[in-house]
Amino acid sequence: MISIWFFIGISLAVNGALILAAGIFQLINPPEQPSVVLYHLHANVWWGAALLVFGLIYCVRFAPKRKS
Amino acid sequence: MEAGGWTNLKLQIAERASTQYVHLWSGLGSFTNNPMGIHWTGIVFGLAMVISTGYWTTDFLVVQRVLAAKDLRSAEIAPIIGAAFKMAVPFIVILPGLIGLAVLPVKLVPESVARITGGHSYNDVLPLMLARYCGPGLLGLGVTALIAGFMSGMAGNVSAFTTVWTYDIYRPFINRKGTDHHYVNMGRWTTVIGVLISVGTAYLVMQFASIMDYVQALFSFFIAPLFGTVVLGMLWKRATGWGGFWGLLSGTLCSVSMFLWVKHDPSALRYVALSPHAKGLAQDMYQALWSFITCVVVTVVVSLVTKPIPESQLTGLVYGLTKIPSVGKLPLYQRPIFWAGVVMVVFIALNIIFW
Repeated sequence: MISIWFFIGISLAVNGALILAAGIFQLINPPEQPSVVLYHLHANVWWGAALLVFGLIYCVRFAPKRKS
Repeated sequence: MEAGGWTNLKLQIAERASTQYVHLWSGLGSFTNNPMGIHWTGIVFGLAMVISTGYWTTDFLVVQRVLAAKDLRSAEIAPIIGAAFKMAVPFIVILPGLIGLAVLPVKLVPESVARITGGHSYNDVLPLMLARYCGPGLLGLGVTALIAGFMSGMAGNVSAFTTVWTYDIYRPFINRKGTDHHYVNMGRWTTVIGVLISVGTAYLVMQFASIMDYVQALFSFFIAPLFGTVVLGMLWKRATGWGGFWGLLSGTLCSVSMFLWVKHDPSALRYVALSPHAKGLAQDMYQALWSFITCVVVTVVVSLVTKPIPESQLTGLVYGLTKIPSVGKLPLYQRPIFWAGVVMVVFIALNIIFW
């Protein structure tokens, strides 16, 4: 049986990767007028990275085990 | 961070609104000293004693999780885990509101005013704060989380509605001889109807000043008297079925009548909430209290004049006549009472910190 936490890990990792990618894109191509306050803190990068790391940990920890 | 820490946040709120927005108890000595327009008696007896306790013990959304527990320990620990997370709700719901009060360039107004002026209401604060701080990607996740939270609550309530209708009303009173297939179909159709009713109630919410006002009004109609009935039924062996029925009916009618009275004549609020300075939420709290008291009094009186139920039929239903099973010998950190104590200590600490 595949653990529900494995799917949660996939969801966290995919969301994290997308948000991190959007953050890095904005870091490389900064907008002239940021649409959010505290833009200089780059919340997208930090939160995206955090979600990606937690998602990958869950994916590995609860990955379906192969039967020998 | 934008507000400049908790101390600066408090200063900005004091400048733009009132210092009472960051206190739980210190302004409750008078109806005029706090933004809710309520007295501590309304909070302690209306909200804490009746509405909150009633919600935790009679709301089917909460109770169904406990009923489905695999053993006594799981059943006892479920509401304790819920209580621990519930204490985090102010940090998710109230803190963004406070930050919005301090930093948003727009002034938030009640829903009724926002509809006329086209401004933003209190209910918009979470989406506004999300849009203010979350860039591409993060904003989508935040909105998804809000919708997921709504869907989770909605799904739980609709399934509770379906269960109560099919198992507790339809099967015992309307059709006792149906097949399992028939009851499953009934449950499915009730789910569809429940969703449609939920959509309809969204239009009803628009009549209220805020979603919180609406929720508390509903609690005062249904949860408060039901709590009186359940408590007496569980703890008092002399309570009878007719006592419970008339108590529940009179409690609900009492609450609904007070609501309609104030809606028809807003000055009547001074009688319901005991002060001419009371505001909408105070009405809900006192309405719940009067409804609970009415229910208890009527239940006791009717029970005393009706035929008592033999004790043999009450075993397993009334506390004093039921042998309570033990959770067994467990390490301290696995005992529900230990975690209940931890939650209680944190709860008291939060109340002192935000006094």
